[in-house]
Amino acid sequence: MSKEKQSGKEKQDISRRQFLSYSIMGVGGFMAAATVMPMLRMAIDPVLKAEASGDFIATNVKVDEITTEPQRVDFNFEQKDGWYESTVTQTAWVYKDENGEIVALSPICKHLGCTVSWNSSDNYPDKFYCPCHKGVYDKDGTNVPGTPPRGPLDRYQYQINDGVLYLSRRASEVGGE
Amino acid sequence: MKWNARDATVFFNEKEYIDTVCIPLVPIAFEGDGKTAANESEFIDLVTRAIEKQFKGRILLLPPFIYFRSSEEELSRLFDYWENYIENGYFKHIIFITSNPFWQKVINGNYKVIWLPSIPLEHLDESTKLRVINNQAEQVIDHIIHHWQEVERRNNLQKK
Repeated sequence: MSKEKQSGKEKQDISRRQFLSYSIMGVGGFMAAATVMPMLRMAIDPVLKAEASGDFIATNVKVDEITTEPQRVDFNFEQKDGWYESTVTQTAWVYKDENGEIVALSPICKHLGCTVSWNSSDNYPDKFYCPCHKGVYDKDGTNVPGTPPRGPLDRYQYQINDGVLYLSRRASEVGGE
Repeated sequence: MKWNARDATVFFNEKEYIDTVCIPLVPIAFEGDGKTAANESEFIDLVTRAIEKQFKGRILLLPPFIYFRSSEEELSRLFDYWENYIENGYFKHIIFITSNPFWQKVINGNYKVIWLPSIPLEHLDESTKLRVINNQAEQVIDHIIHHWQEVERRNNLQKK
């Protein structure tokens, strides 16, 4: 800017007043940019981050510990909603089916969203049971007809790294099974 | 369900399934035992959230009812409102959750008051807190299931 001042002196085509107003505009522009940019970033941020949400989360379960009996697995991850950071705890019922494939079922009842658990009712042994409206699911998550649920339990996707079970953040619907 | 915009849509569509309303009773005090009151508030808030997660499809969790310890006696009026809702068949079960033993004395009638002595949370780290709260919530969950079964059994007997 000092250069500008010198050139102003030589040519006399820029007055002190003009120079000051230009420099105020310049500084003001930087200040405006400094406040607006973070706001823009904040607005665009979730869009940029969307890709990373498909990450898999490590559980504290080793793959060889998984039996054919469904076990409850809790796993946590951090979630950011604007300014609000929270720890999300997800639960899965994990077991190996007859082919040795790992199945990770969501405990969220497909009726109205209560939490179901395995083998918790004496009347429904070896079933997933929802205590709210007596919804019943088979071991593979299929809803038993005649009970309130409208579809099979959702499933988490899984990965195995170094013998440890990793699960997807969200469970997804099982289509047409 | 929570008392918010998204859950309200489900609530009004599926009303026949959501027969239980849960009201956390939360104390406010700005002198004397204010710190205890704040701890009780957080404790009750966390436990009721855990319960709501478990019973999302049957329980409507309302925002906490805030009371000043100095005016507890006036609050019996609250129950007159709820008495109406039960009598009109709007809800079958009304559950109050509190850390204050006082409420068990006040409430009698068609309500269920679950009293939980609060646990000091101030010095707990997050994971311990989560475990403590889940343990407490599990006890309440069993309590509520038992309450539902009990009322159902009683109603069936009356029908016969």
